[in-house]
Amino acid sequence: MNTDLYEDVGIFLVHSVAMEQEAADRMYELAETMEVHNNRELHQLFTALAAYSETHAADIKELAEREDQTAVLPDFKAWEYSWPDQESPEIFHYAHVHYLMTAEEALQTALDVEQRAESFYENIAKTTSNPEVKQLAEPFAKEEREHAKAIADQLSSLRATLQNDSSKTLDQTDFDPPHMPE
Amino acid sequence: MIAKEYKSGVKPIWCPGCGHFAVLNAITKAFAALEQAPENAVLVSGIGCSSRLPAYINSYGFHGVHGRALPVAAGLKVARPDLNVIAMGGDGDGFSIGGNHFLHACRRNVDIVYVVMDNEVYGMTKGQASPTTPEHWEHSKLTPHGPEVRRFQPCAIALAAGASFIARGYSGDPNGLAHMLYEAVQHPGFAFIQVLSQCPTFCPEQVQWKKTVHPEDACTPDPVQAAAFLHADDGLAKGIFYRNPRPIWPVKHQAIKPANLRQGFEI
Amino acid sequence: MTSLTIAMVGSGGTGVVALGEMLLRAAAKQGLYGMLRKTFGPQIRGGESAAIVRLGSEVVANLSSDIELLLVLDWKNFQRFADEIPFTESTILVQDLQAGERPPNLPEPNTCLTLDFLGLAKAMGSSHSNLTMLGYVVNWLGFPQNAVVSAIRHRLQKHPQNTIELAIAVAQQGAELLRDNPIPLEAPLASSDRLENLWLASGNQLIGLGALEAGVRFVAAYPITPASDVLEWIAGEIESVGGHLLQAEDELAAVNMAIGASFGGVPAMTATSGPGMALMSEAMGLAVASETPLVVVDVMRGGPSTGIPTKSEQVDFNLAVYGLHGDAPHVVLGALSVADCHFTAGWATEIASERQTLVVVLSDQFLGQSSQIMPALETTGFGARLDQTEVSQTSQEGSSVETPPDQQRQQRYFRYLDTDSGISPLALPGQPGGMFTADGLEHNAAAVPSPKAADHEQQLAKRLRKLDSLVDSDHWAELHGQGSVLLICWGSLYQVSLEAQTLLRGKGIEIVVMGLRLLSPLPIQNIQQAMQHATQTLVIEQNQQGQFAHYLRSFDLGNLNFKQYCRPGPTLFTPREIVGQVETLISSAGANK
Repeated sequence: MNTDLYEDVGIFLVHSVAMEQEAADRMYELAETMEVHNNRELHQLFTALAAYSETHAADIKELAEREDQTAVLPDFKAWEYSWPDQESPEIFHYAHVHYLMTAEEALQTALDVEQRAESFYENIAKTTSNPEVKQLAEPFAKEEREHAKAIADQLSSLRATLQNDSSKTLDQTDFDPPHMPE
Repeated sequence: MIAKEYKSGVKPIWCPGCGHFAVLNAITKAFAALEQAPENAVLVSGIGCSSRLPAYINSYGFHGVHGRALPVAAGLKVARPDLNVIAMGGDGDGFSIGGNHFLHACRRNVDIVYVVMDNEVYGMTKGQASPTTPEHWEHSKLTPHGPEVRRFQPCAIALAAGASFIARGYSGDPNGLAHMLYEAVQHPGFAFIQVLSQCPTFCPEQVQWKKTVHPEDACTPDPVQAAAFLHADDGLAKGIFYRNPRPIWPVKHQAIKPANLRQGFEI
Repeated sequence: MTSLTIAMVGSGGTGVVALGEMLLRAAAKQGLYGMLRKTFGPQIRGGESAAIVRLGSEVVANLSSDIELLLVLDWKNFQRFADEIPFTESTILVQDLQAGERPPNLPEPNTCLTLDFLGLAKAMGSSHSNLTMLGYVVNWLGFPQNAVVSAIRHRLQKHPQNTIELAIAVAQQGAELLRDNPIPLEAPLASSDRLENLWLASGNQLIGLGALEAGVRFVAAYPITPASDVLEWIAGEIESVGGHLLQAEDELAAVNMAIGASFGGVPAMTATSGPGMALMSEAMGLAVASETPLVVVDVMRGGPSTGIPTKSEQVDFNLAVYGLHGDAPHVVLGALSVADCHFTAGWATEIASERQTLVVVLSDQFLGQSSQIMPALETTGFGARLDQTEVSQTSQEGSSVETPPDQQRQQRYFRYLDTDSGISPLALPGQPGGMFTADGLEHNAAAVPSPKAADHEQQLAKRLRKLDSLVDSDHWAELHGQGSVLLICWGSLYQVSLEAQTLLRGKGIEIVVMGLRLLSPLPIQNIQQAMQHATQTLVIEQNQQGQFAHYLRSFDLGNLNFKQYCRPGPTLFTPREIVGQVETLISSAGANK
C-alpha cells in the first residue's frame, strides 16, 4: 500500500472521493439488477443505500474541492489507487450478492462495508504524520460510524420484527429458477 | 470521458452478483484510462450471458453467433486496422464451440484483445458443464456424474498455440482487470485475458474465489518459463503471465505487383 | 457455327491437361475461340485425367454433343470417365503406339491413327509424348509455329531455358509426323483480325475479377474444390488494390471474418462449394439479421456430402434458397456463363452493399474451372456502395423503442430504422454519433435486443421489403429468341440451351431461351409473362429431383403449367440432349391434341 495516501492531502482526498463515488455507483448497479430480477424489496433497499452514498460522495467532493482549491487533484487510473484490498473498502463486493438474498443479508453486508470504510479512515487518522490529513480523516471516520450506526439500527429493528412475528420471515423457496435461453 | 460515460445505458440482463458486471466496469475504467474515442472501439461477441456485454458499452458492437466472435473480430481488424477491436465471450463460447478459432487466433496474432469471462458453466442454457467445469461437478442434469472430462486449460493452451500476451483476471478485482485490459489493448498482437468471472446463480461455490484467487508476479517473455508456471498453476493465479510481442498479421509487404487486374487474361 | 472438339485422355502425369491448355492458348494466339474443360479423378497426381478442347470461329461457351477427334496418350483408367467422352465410330482416333489396349467395349473407329509419339520424344531425350502430340495436332490445325512456341513458353515460364528449348524441339518433331499421317478432317480456320482483344479466363477467375472491380477488398478463404481457384486468383491480386485475403481455419471462420470486415465498411466476400456453404449457413443468417452486406460464392460440385468434388452439378439451389434458418430473405444469383461470372459477381457485390444483405452467387464446377477464349470483357460498372450515411437526424415515430437514459447521445441513432425501402441508414465504426451493436438477436429499430412481436414483425418486414424492387432489374435474366416453346434454365445450362436453340432452328423449331440470373427473389411476374406467350414451357436443370422446378411450382402460376426435365451429373448436359427433350415436349403435346 502506497504510503502517500497517509501523508498527502490531495491523494487522500482523491481516494475519499473515489471511494464514496464507487460505493454509490455499485449500489445503484445492484439496485438495478434487483429490479431486473424482480426483487422489489432489495431494489428499494439498495436504491436508498445508493442515494445515501451519493449524498455522502457529493459532500466529500465538495469538501475536497474546498480543502484543496489551489492544488489540482491527481488523476488516478483505476488501478493506481492504494486500497487495502482489491477494491475500495466501501464497496459492496459481488461475491456477497445473490438474486435470492434477503434484506437482512443485504443490511448485514452493508453494515460490514460501512465498518470497513470507518476503519479505513480511522487507520489513516491514527497512522498519518500529516496533521491536515488527520484533521480530514477523523470526521470522515465519524461520518462512516454514523452511517454504520444507522444501518445497524435498521438491521436490529428488522431482526426484532422477524423475531417477534414469524409471519414476516418469508419462505425463500425458489419456484422460478433462472433461465435465459438464447 | 470518465468511466461511467462509457456505459450505453442499456440495462444488463445479468443476475445480481454476476462477475460480468465487474468486467463491464473494468472495460469502462480501461477505456477512461486509454481516453478511448467511443466511435473507434468495437466490441465483438458470440452467444452467452457474457456475450451480451457489447450492448452495454457506449461504442460500436457486434453480437454475432455462438462461438464466432474471434473470426468476426479478426476480419474486422484486418479490414479496419484503425479500430480498437476487443472480442469477448464466455468459456463455452470461446473454448468449446469456438475452440478452433481460439487456437488459430493465438497463432495468427491479429492485433486484437480477447476477453473470456470464464465462470466454468453454460449460464445462458441453464447451467450445463463447459470445457472449464471441474471434472466432478455434478450439478448439471446433462452430466449427472460430472463431466468426467479433463478441464481445458485456457492459458497453457493459449501459450502453446502462440498467443503473445496471456493474463488471468478476476471479477473480484475490477481495478486489476482494468489494468490488464489497458496493457492488453496496447500490446501489439493477440492479447488473451481469461477472467475468472463468478456465476453466483449456477456456481455459488465460486464465491470462494474471493479467498482463493491469488496474485502472482510471474510475467515473463520466456515461453519455457511461462509454460512451467502455467503447468504448475492451480487455475486461480491472477496476473499477466506471458508477454512477448512478435510480428502481427497481416504482415506488411511491398505490393507484389502494380494493380492491373486484367493483365493476366490478355493473350 | 463451325466447331471442332478434341478430347485427350491419359493417366495422370502424362500431361494431358497441359496438352489441352497449350492447345487452347495456341488457338487463342490464332484468333480462334475455344473452351477447355478439364476433368480429373480425385487423385492429387496420377489416376485418370482428361481434357476436352472445343474450338470455333465464333465464341464457344459450352461443349458440344460430340467429339471429332480423340487423342490417347494411354488407355489406362479411360473407363473411369468414359461417360464424359462421347466416343463413337465416327470419332477419329489418334493414339500413341504404346497407349495399350483399347477398352473392348468401345466401338471400332472408322479412322484410327497409331503413331509413335512417345518413341519420338524419347529419341530426343524427352519423356513427353504430350508435346509430340501437341506439335502434330497444331500442325494439322494449320497454326504457324510461333503459336505453339508461344503456348509452350507460357506453360513452362517458370522452367529453365533449356527445358523450354527441348520442349519446342520435341513439339516440332511431332509436327513432322503430319506429313505422312494426315488427319482426314477439315480443321476450322482462324480469322486473325481480333487478336488484340481476346482474353483467356476461367469462371472462377472472373468471379474474382468481377468482385474486385466492384470494390471487394476483403476475402476470407478456406480451400475447397472446385472453388479454391476463385480464392487463389484473388490472393494474387487483392493486395495490389489495397485489400486483404485471409486464409481461415475453417468455413465457419471464413464467413464470419467476411462479416466482420463488412461490418467495418469494407466490401467482403468468401467463396466455397456445397459442403462449405452448409457450414456457413448459420452465419449467413446472421448477415441477414444484422443487415451486414455479404457475398458468398458457391461453386457447385456433385453432392451430397463429399460427393464428386471435381465434377459439376446444379445441386445447391435448395441450400442457397432455403438453407438458412428462420425467415431470412436474401438474394440468390446464378451465373449464366464463364464470362457472366464476371457480371454476376459484380452485381452481387453491388446488391449486397446497397441492400445491406446476403447475396449468394451460384456458379458450378463447369463454369468455374473451364477456361474460355472470349472477347475482352467490359467493366461491369457495378460498385459496392458503403458511403457513410448521416445518422444523427434519424428518428422512429411510434416505435416501441426504449431509449436508454444516455446523456452522451442527445439524438439517438436508429440503425434499423423502418424506412419505406426497408433500407436503413448504416453507420460505420469510426463514425461519431452512430454507435450501435449489430445483433443477430431480434432487435428494435434502435438495435436494442427485443423479443416483442411488434418489433419482430417490423424488422422481418423491412428485411423482406428491401429486396422487393430487385425483381424490376434488367439483369434478372437473359432472354433469347422468339417462338412458341419457352425453355427456362439457369446457370451453366443456359449456354448449352442456346446451342440447342440453334440446332432446333435448323429443324424449323423456334424456341425462347430464358436464362435466369436472379433466382431469389424470383421475378415471377416476368416469368409468368413469358409463359403466357408460350404454348409450352420446359424447365431444365442438372439435379436429381428438379430443385428449381419445385421452387417455381411453389408460386401461384394460375392456369400456367410447365414440364420439367432434370437429371443429376456428373455428365454435362449436351445440346443434343436438350433438343431431344424439346422435341419430346412438342410431340407429346401434339399427341394430346
